[in-house]
Amino acid sequence: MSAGRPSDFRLVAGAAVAALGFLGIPFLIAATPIEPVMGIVQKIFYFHVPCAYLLFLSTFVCAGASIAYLFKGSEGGDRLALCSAELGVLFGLCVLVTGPLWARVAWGVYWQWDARLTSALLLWLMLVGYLLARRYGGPAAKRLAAGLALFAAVDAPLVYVSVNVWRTIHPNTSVITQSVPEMKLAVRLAALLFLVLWGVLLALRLRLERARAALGELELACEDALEGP
Amino acid sequence: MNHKHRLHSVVCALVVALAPALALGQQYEKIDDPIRPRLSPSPFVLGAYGFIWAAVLVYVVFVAKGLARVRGELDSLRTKVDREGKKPTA
Repeated sequence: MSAGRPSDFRLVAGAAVAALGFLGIPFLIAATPIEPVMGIVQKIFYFHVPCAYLLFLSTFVCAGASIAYLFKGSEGGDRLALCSAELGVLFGLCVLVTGPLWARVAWGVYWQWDARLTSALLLWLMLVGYLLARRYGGPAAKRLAAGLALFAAVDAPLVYVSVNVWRTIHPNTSVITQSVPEMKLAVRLAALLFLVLWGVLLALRLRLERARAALGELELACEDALEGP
Repeated sequence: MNHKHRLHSVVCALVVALAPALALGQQYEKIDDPIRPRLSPSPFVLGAYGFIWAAVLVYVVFVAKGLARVRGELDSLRTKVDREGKKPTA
């Protein structure tokens, strides 16, 4: 993978957009109106919600790629599943840290065992379980983890609708559509910038997995070549 | 029923009749934020944003280090193969 390839250019361009976006998001958030009930702490919404979207996206990509691996034996699908599971853990952690920080000011407590928070924690633990299965699961680790990814994909919609189905302390899913236009625009822009960041991280992580696969193949080829016919 | 019992009955009836009226007549005083002290929200907002920055940065460093290590191993393997004078197929 030499420098100067189109994929390198795209990666650098994406990284530049993501970095600029990350620098610009505070200004974007500062320009939004202050929510009258919660005040300044509501600003956490502009990065808590995009992180939650990326947790869901990572889970679905992981599950789709796992299906490709399970039913078609696609090694590329397996690599994509692993990388997206890692990103799911990363952004899930961001959700599980930023949410309680917001809750401490808004609700007076860091954590409540209500349906939304508990199901989100379970989803994150499933993705952590996926990574642990991949690392320590032995020869059948890939298939075992792929099955776990399907369970995680079933849990993700439950996390989303939990606030509408069960009585919870967490705001429901209509909070974005009911907010003022400036807030709506800001959260959508922030979500877009986070999506670019997610794409860049995924591309970077996939490179590492491809390089590891190439190394493995080369090592095998070397053993064959050095042993001779 | 003697006079004392009648008096008790009347008092009880009055209490039962007046209790809802007393309850309805109560005025609730609105208390803003009575239990928890007001927390300054800025450290929480900055902490949340800072955590995301830090988490992404740590992840990028982790991936970049892994990539550098694997590429180093690939290069050393290719060098070794070239030195041996045999080209692998991969």
